[in-house]
Order: sequence, then structure tokens, then C-alpha cells
Amino acid sequence: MKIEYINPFIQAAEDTFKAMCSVDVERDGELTVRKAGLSPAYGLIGVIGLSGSVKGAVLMTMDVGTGRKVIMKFLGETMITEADLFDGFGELLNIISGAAAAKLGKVHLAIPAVMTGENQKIHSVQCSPWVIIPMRFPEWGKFNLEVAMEEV
Amino acid sequence: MKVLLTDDSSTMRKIQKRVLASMGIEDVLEASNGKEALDLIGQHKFDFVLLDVNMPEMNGMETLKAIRSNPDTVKLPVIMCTSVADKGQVMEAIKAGATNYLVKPFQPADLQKKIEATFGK
Repeated sequence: MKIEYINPFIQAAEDTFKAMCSVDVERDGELTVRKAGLSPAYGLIGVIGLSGSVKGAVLMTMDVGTGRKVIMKFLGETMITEADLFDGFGELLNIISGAAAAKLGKVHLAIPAVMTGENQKIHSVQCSPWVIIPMRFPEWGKFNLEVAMEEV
Repeated sequence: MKVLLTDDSSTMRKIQKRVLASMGIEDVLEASNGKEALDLIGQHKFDFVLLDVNMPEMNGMETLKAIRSNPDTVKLPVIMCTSVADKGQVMEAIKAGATNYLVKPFQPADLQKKIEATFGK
């Protein structure tokens, strides 16, 4: 996967969380690469497929406690439901992916899917390896953006 | 003023609804896809529609084209609200008759400005 595919996702995450949640995010370590196949996941897990001039997927994971803080800020409410948590998490992933996709050509987004649980595994049959982008909210904790993508 | 919010995300609709409330717009109906939106448009007279693009069942572009092909709604103001902001999609929406276009992520003030611009305030 081309490394120039990654920067739009980092920029989109920074812009999205700043605009929609009034919170800063920052990188939290080096990029790592994981081969396609079974991979561990935890907490809140959102995934969205990409098609068009590229094919691939974007994954966002964070622990549920961090996710609750993010979605409370997104909604501007101090109490949120489980439905708010899942829906809001998917919408933020959708916005991040859309903002990045706009810089990558004519890319179509699938509808995001969100799940939760501990010790989960995700199986990917993408040809391209996953690039893992560790990020963090300075006040709330870590999250990962993971991108697998290749040109069509 | 009566407004239809169309977005498959309930949290996004809550955020939009709060912005509208801050503008004194309380008469708001909600749809989670294009088909629901067209049903409501057939039953109510709206002053404008906020329309997401990426939705299941019937997406925003299909919905916009259906609104513009109906003589009763051909002039209904439609503000597209989307997370995919490439120039091609924006041009496609404008050609299909979108009145205005708002790109996510946005701040509440951005939505308010788009609505005010749509009505020439």
C-alpha cells in the first residue's frame, strides 16, 4: 500500500475530532504493518469498506470508556444511550473516511458497521496489508486507525 | 419554518436538530433514508430538506433526483450534507439540483451559515 494513502486519514481524524468534538488528537507512536488474516480487536470496533478507484477498508478501535467520552462530546450531552454510542462511533468513522477518501480519487464509502467486545478477532481477506496508525486523545486515551487499501 | 432532516445517523440528526433549535426552528421531522424522506415529503410541506448522501435503502443523490423530477417539489430547497467531499460529487449534486452543500466534518456555526445563505439572510 502506498504510504501517501495514510496521511489523508491522519489529517481527517485530526480535523473531524476537532470540528465535531472540539478535541485534539495526536499520533501515538510509529506506524506498524500487519498482514491480512486474523487480527486482534477490542472495545469499540468500527469498520467501513471503500470501493471505486481504490478498494479496501478502514477500521477504528478504542476502548468503550474512551468511546463514551468521545460520543458525549460529539453529541454535547452528559448522558448517552448504547444506541448513541454505536451510531455516533460509526458516524465519526464515516466522516473521517469520507474526508480522507476525497483526497484519494473517486472513492465510494460503504455503510459503517460497529461492534463491541473483548478479545475479538477480525478476519480480513484484503490483499493489501493493514497499516496501523496509533493515535491518542491527550485527556482520554488511545485509539487506532487501521487502513488496508490498494488501487483498482 | 418546517424542516426535514434526512440522515441514517441518529446522532447526526440530533446534532442538526439542536442547531435548528438554536435558530428558532422547532418544527422538524426526521427520516433515516431517502425512501422515508420521499414518503414524508409527499405528506408534508417543508421549507427545506437537509439531505445526507451516503445512506442505505436510497442514497441522497437518488433522493435529490426524485425530488427534482416531481413538479410539486422541483423548487424545494435541498441542502446536501455529506462526508465525501470530492469535487466530482459536489458538481454532480449541484447539477442534479442541490440548493447548497455542506461537507462533514462541520461545526454548528457552519450549518447555520449554510441555512442562512440558502435563504439569503
